[in-house]
Amino acid sequence: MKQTLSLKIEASLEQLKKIRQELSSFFEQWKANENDVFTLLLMVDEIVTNIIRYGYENKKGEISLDVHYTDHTAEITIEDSAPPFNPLEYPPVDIEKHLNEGKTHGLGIHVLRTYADSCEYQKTKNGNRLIIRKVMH
Amino acid sequence: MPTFQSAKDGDRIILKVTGEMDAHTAPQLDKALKDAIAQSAKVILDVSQMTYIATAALGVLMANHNTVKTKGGKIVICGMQEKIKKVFDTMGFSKVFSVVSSLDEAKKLL
Repeated sequence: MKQTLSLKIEASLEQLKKIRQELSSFFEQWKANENDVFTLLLMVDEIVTNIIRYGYENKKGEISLDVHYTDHTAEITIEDSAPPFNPLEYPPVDIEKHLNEGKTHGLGIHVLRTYADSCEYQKTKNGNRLIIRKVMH
Repeated sequence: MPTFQSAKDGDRIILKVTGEMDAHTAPQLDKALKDAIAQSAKVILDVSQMTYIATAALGVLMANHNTVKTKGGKIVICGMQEKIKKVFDTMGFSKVFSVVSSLDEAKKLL
C-alpha cells in the first residue's frame, strides 16, 4: 500500500473535487475512519480554497500537496507561491457570535483549528508551506 | 456535477440537492435556493443525496437563511448524511438551522 501521495494542481476552484477524490482513494486503501477522512478532506479543501481566492486572488498559480501516512497519522503539506500568509496567526473566530450575527464567510481557518491535531506554518523562499497533521482512527 | 430539483408542496417548496457542495459549486446552490425562495419563503432543503459540504456552501445556507427570516419564512434541512451532520453539529450550524432526519418531519415544521 502507498504511504505517500503527491499532487500538483493548478490554482482553480474546479480542481477541488479532484483533490478530494485523490485523497479519498489514498485513505480508502488504509481503511481509515470515514469521519476522519471527511474532516481531513474538509480542512484541505478549505485551505486550498483560501489559497486560490485570497493567496492567488483567483489568478494563475500552482499548489502542491504531499500526503504521508504513518502510524495512523496523516501529514499533509500544502505549498504555494502566493504572497506570505500565516493562517495560524489569523484571529480565532468566536463561532457562536459569528453564527448569531448571520455571517456568511470566514470559517475556513476555523475548520482547520477545529479538526487538525497539529499545524505548522513555514514561510518559504517562494511562498508558503502549511503542514497539517491528523490522527486517523 | 451537482443537481437541484425543486417541487411545490402546498405553500412550501422542496429543494432536493444532489452531489458535492464546495467553493466551486456553492454559487449553483445559491442560485437554486434564491429561485426557490422567490416562489416561497418556506423551504425544505432535502440533502439526503448531498455528499459533501464546505464552508463556502455553509455561507450560502446562512445568507439564504437570513433572507427567508426577513420574509417571515424558514429553511428546514432534512435527510443529512451522518458525516455531514457531525460537522454541522461541531460547527454550531445545528443551532441556527432546523435539521431533521426525514422529509415528513420537515413538513411538520413548515
